[in-house]
Amino acid sequence: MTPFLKELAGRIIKENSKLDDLTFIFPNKRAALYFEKYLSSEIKRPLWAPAMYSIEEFFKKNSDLREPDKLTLIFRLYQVYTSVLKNNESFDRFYFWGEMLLRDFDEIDKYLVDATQLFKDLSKIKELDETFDYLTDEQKLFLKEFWMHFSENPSITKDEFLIMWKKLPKVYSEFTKALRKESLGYEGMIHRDVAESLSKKIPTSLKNSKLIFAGFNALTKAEEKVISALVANGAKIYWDADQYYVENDLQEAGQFMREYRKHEHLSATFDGPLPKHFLESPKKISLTAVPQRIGQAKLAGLEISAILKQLPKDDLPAELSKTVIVLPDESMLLPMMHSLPDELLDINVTMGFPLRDTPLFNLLDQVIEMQVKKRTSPVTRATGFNHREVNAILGHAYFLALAEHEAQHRITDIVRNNRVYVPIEELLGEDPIFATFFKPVDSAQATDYLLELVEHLGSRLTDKKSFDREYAYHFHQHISRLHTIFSVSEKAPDWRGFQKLFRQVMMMQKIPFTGEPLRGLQIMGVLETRNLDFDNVIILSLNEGQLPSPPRQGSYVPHAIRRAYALPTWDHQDAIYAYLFYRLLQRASNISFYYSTEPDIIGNGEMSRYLQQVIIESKLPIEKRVLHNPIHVHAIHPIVVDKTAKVMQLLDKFVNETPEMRSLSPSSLNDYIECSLRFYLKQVAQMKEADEVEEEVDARVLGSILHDVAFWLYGELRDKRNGLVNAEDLSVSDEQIDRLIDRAFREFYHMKEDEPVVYEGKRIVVKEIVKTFLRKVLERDSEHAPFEIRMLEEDFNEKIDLPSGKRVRVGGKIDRADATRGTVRIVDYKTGVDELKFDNIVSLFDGESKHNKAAFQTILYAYVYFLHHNSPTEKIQPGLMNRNSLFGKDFKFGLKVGNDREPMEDVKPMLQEFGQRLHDVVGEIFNPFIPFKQTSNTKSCMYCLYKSLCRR
Amino acid sequence: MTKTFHIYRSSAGSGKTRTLAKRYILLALSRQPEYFRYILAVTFANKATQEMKSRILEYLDDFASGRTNNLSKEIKLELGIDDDTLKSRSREVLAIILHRYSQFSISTIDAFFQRVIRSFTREAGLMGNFRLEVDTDFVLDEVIAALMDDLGPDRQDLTDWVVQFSRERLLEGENWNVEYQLKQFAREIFKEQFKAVEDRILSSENIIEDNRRMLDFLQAEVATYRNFMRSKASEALRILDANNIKVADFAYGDSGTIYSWFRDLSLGKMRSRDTKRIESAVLGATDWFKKGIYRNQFLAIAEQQVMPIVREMVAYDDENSIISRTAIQVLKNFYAFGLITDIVRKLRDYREENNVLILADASKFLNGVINNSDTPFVYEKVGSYYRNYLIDEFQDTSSFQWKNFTPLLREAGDQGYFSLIVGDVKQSIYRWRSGDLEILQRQVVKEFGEARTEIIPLDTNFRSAGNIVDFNNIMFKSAAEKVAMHVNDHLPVEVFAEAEQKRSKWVDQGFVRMKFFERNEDDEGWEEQAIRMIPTWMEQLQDKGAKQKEIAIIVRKNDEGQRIAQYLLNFRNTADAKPGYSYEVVSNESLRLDTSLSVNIIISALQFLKNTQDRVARGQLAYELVGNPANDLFIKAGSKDKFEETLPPEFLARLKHFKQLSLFELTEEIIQLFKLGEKPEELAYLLAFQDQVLEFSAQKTNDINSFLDWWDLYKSKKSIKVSSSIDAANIVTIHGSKGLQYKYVIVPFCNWRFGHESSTPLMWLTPTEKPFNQLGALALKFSTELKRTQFEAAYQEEYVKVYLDNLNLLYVAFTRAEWGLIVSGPVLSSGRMNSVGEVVQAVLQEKYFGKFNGFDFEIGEVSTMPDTQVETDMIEQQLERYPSVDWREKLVIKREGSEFFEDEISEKRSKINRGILIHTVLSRIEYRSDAEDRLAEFFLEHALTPEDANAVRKVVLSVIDHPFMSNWFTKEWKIKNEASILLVNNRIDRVMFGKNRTVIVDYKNGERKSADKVQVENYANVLTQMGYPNVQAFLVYLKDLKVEEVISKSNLSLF
Ligand code: SF4
Repeated sequence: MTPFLKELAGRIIKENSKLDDLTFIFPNKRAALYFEKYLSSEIKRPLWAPAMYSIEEFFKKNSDLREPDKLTLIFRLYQVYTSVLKNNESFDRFYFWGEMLLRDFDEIDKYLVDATQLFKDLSKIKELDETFDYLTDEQKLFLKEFWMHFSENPSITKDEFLIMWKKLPKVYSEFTKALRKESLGYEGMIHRDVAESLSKKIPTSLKNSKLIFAGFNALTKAEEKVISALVANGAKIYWDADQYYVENDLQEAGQFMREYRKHEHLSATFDGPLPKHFLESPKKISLTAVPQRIGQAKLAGLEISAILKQLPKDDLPAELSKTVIVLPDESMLLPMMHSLPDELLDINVTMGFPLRDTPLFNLLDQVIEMQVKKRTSPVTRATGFNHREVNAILGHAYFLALAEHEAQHRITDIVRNNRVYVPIEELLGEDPIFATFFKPVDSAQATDYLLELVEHLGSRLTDKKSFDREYAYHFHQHISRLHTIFSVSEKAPDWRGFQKLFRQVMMMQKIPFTGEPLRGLQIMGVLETRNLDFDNVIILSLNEGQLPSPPRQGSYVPHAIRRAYALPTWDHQDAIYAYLFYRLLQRASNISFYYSTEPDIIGNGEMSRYLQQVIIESKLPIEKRVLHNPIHVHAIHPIVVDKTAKVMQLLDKFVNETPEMRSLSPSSLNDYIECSLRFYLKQVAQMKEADEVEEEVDARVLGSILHDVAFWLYGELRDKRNGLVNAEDLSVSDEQIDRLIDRAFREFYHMKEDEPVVYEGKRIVVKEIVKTFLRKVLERDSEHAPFEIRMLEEDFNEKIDLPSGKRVRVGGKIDRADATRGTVRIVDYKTGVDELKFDNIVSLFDGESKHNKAAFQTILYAYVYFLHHNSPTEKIQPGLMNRNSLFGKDFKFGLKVGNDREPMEDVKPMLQEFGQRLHDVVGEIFNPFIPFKQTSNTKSCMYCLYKSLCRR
Repeated sequence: MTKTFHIYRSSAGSGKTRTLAKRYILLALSRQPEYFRYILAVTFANKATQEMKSRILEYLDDFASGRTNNLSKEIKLELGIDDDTLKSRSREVLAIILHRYSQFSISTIDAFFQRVIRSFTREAGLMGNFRLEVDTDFVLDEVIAALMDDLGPDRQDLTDWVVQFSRERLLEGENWNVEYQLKQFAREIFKEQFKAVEDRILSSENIIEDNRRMLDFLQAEVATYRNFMRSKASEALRILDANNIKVADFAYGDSGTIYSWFRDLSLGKMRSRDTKRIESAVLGATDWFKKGIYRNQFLAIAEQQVMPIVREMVAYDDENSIISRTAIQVLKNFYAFGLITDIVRKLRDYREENNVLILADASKFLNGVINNSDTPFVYEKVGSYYRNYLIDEFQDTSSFQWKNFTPLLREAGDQGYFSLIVGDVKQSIYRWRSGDLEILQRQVVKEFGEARTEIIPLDTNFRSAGNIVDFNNIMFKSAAEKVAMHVNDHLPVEVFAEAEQKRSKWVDQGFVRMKFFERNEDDEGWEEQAIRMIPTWMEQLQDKGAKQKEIAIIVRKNDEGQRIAQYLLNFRNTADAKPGYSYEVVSNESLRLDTSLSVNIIISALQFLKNTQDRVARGQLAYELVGNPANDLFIKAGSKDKFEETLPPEFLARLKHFKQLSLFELTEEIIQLFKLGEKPEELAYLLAFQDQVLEFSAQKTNDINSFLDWWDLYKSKKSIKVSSSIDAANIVTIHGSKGLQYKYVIVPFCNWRFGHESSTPLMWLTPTEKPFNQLGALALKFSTELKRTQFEAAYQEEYVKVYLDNLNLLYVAFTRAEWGLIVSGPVLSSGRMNSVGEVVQAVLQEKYFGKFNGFDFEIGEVSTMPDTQVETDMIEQQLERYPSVDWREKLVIKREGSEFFEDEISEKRSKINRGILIHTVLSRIEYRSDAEDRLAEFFLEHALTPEDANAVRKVVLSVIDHPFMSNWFTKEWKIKNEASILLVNNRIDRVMFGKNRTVIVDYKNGERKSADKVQVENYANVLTQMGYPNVQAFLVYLKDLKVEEVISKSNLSLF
């Protein structure tokens, strides 16, 4: 079916010998582009192209006001607003509302409404009729309907409304005045000016040029006025409409056309009956229901490859250009792009690439967050950045591209020194990039700083293929705008505020794609399809809230008042979209609709009304499909690892003679007992997590600090009276404990000797907990004193001979062994959940049931102690100083067997069996025929590193 | 006064939706066509909204095209109109709805509230474009972390409190790390119970200080009480000891005797006189001791020496126990409670900084708005006026939601407009989401008055076969009575008053089977037996011709479901599995996204990208890719150097590139790289996962790390929708089954206790008595220990509700069945009534005496339901592969930056190349006279910094005023700028028409290229061809301001 613009082109060429005295005005630039192409296709030899403008350009051409960018306008509005309302709302908070207010003003002007009238406060005026005799009764009705309530029962929100409302006229006039002073203006102002001047007198330049308007639908009052005037002066209009929606009064799509057909000036321009393409030109329509969104893009992608196969290969791009994919939902752009067939080469995208999806956005966002969170330590007075952002920045693609080596180094340092806040001096480096990025910047310099960063990157990222420079370029543009704004504003926002503003501004921005606009597959937003026609039309996201797009957010002008002054309301917008929708279909021959069957979180977004209309009303044949993929339920495959030669070789590091001289620690044995696979992964395969900055001062930290402090403390005690400890020795001063805790923290965080320890965040808690814990230990010990300390944090390792002849080392560290009254206590500090109770020796070696790690560990110690220092007269009593026993009602040291109420006094009788089983386990570990496998006791998996690997 | 307010008391399967749709249509048809816009229908579930909309449209379409059915009959009757009128009106209304669709107001309660809030954002001091946040746990993590960061010198009070909190926990032998506990507690702030008292709590200036004082006071209270009792008890023990009276001498020895009472108290434990035995023992020593020779001697000692102490203790206890027991309960969460203000504050900051509105806050938020404005104004702001409200699923309304609706409903009522609500108190199972059945049960009528309201029961069951209806009628009538008796409160009976339903179809068909197990000879618990029974049920049903997918297994809790799924999975490969039968099952659990191989590959790849040193991620990625651990895979993955062998080189090669991609693009490229799109059986998961990714990056951020955090929190909740087309039985939880129906329902574990959902909740109470009333409100954990405290009443109330919740759950479970209901559980007859199973059996015993032998129960013949499948005209389409390509190969974004930046970094600013800028301005300037304007416009467009602007300007002017060129910009020329000639591709920067000569000018900002010449020559030829005289052409190189004449008049002029 011939496109509307091609039809027009043909006609123009037929009717005119030369074109450069014609002036065409289209709703947008793209139409002009297509039109030019169609013109060329109609002629043989070169001709000056006619002048072609978008309506916007046309207005600008005929006005001496210039239009600044939106940001600038909003900022100007902000200045006026704050001065009029005498409030000091911050710009970032205002931004959104400014946008809204600007839109209102824009409409007021485009619809030629008298602002001072509109913004009148009628809450007091009882009798509208005489005060507003120039209003129609209908208008008065709306106004009453609204203002009525004000006189009656007032309310807080109303008052707030009024306060605002009363100020608006002033804001409006001041704002427009301010702009005009510099001969600036927003669209609306320009339109109004032109409309008023043209309707009075048409300048000669226009008088004698042949004007042709084409493809218009919903005209603003200003446009209507201008065009009417010009039509009266001989300008032509070509409409692009179809009987289907114009002749039927219910079809909102035809609403405006119906008006214009009755319009005093415009009616004349409808020559002859409208075409009936919508119903009569042959169409193949399919409609596919898809759960959610991605599926739509993927199906559309496959559809394109199907189309591709059928197209003649000679001039593929030209053929392809007859196919369009329309994306009402912008966020579908990337999904769609990723779903296009591999063999497809020619694409033209009229939507932009969202700035927020660029690596540069992420980088700058991190940088800003870094500045927001930068802080000066109350103690050291040094400024530092939080490691989260710093690491993110150092790890960012651009740093890797420009200074990978150094960046990596910084990261490792930060982790090694466990820097929660990284002092700036630690972030400097050879490469200038470090100095450029990592410096404390005051929010007043925000834009200078960012510009510097962007320029730095822009000039250093020279790879011609990549888009990086383009990203940099576009950010440069937008930040410059902010820069110029803040250069004139007195109070700069703080970093938080700046961040909000930055996000609001950048989120919206897009980078245009290039590509042959008129060749290849076309991917467009709904608005861009205006005036264009395609054979194959594929529309995605045909859901309410996408098409039509949701009523644009908010306005300061209440609904009724909008109606009263004939400002556009939601139905106006719906009608516009309806037109766009039907117009796009009327000349198409293959149409595919896609929509999502899943509502959004609050239940909005069913199938688009336009689809429902087409289905129920048009009675056109439609093939309905639903995307449904076969689902299969995943079986879980057990993981079993055989003891290959390699495994055995690695295991040998636990064997005595080998150079590594490692030994099986109690915890690794515990691992093995609970789950042999875990033992393998952790101890043999060394599959450990990467170290990260320990900001979470967690149980692990607490444990290690407690152990250190206890070790040093009892160390000092022991050395006092070579091992003997009396109750009074145990009265330790707080200072002493604090000193040791500081020291422990320093060591843990690799701090310098003299560096003061800053207690902030959870560190404070940990410190207090360690203290409390330690105090309790001392208290309990003084009840137990006098005793003799035999071991402190003492390394041991024990050789176990296997039948295979191997000698395996089993080893660990005994927290403390002390002796009194013929009993040796093997003490282990536990800050975790560990319990004293265990069923029996067997249970200690059985991971499938409940098994007490701590008990296993201490009894192992006891066992070793027994082998080396056994004296027949002494009992050996392993036990824990753990939280619930230490702080429990009645403390008794020692483990509890089975259901005994009292702790076990001597473990010796059990040691024989223990030793036996120990040998068995170790033997099993080294038995090449017993593979490592997953435990069947899923409780063990709860906190296991390998949970997701094992699907537990 | 006419009854304008109808309350429909629906019951399971009583055609709620139809009723609502009918009411809507009646209203819409009875007045002028546009009337529909005055009707607002509100549903709770998202799907329900869509269902309702399409139902109404379908009905109207039917009527409009003359298809009649029962509904059309009823409607004609009620409106008293004939076929044609119905037809024409329906046509009108349908058309107008379709074309004024924005006014077709059927929405979820949330959606409606959002609409109102959106139109009040400014007044409410919200940021306009706020985002709606539903992932509260995700938020809480941040909030609590932020709170912890605050600890330090600047917040001493907070710090001390938290420290003391942790220490307290440690002393109790609990986990000192309070963060987790705080998170749990913080969940409360999203519950309405809290929001109701929020303002009162937050009103206090320095809450931590107040609490500290209260804390000390309470602890003192408790301590004094404890100490007194302790000392007395120890004294008593001493006496007994002194007279060497041993435990063994007491009747019942240690268990619950006065002796154990002494002992516990002497250890400082709290121990009340809660048992009968103690109660009587404190009155007199008579029954203290065993029979035995010393009995009387003991008795004497006890009476003379011990009883006086006991009396003292009792007296003291009566005096003080209430307060101190209350104190103990209060102290339980007191520390967390003390932090609530700070938590709330932090949450506010979070909202501010991220510009979100948390869905859970919406209704309270709206409450503020509605209270501060009168209804008409609300309508005005929202832009639509409603006269008739039709509200569905009303039993789940929360009190805030109700408060928000009342003014609107009242307004409508006052105008005499009709409204209705539909609900079923018996199916209210969302109390833990603040749903409050009391509103429907009692409040509504109270508020609107008998005079105005009419209660209409929908008492026919269109869903289930007669036998099931009958059974449930009997079951729940008397179950309710039994429960009511047990908790001695009338509510349950009230709630189930209308449980009785009429049968509609298959009057005496359908079946019920029940089986109760005891521990059997080979010592198998009832659960094992119940599970083992399931395959047998399935076989029986399939024998009768039932399809596996028509069966639903309804469980109380998720893990029960998993257990069953696991069992059946294994069962399939056992000898017991009969050939020819299907034992397939699906559940949301079994369809979780994180069970999918592809998804796990993507996730572990992300983990690895997040930190390439993470060996766990490495190992998992490698393993997922290969599928088995052979060849020491894990060892390689774990090693420093070898791990690269385990990952595809092309993956490692792209690491840098990956780091450049946004979250969504990254996952797409991973899919592409690992060819995940080529596994058909994985596609459903892949699609669902990518939808999650897209959603996340659009809604939240593009940052991989926070996506991984989020995934960790929510992966367990993400699964693909169970699709009807797989032939497998559905395993669903009761909550999941609400609103659905299945032909055959198996309830294998009919034994849940009358307890709370998961963890026992906190109750937010307003203390009235001293000393607690000094606190605005309190958070108490529900437990029996609340008996004998100031909050016994609150306890009792909650206690009843809990029973009701579970009875309702039972009702929902039993009423899902259309044709067959199969139930199993343990044999119970303790009379303690603490599990639903027991209630069920009690009813069977009583009502089906003789039919129930204590183990088995059956009604009706096992048979299959007549088919009632409605045919759809939908063609099922499969996605045979998941196409994914790197579009960057195909498409470029507009190149502007490459010239914009200079390659080497020189000093600031001049890093920018202004060539292009200059070029653009120049090609816009026609004459010297308009130069300044063009420049001004241009600077405005490009927002040039002053420096740049001046620089550009200088060059431009130097061109215009260039000795050679200056005359070009005089009026003696007619100018075409950016001149475009059809059939010629590029535009010409500048064409000048003079008297009998024509000059072409092209500006160049790059280096000289031979192509430049060719281009302008080409232009020249075209112009000549078009018949212009003496065409001349110049190239102007802006870098160094050199003008080159390419074609001079001379060499064109012919002799
Ligand atoms: S998750 Fe469970 S099975 Fe897997 S390694 Fe850890 S403990 Fe073993």
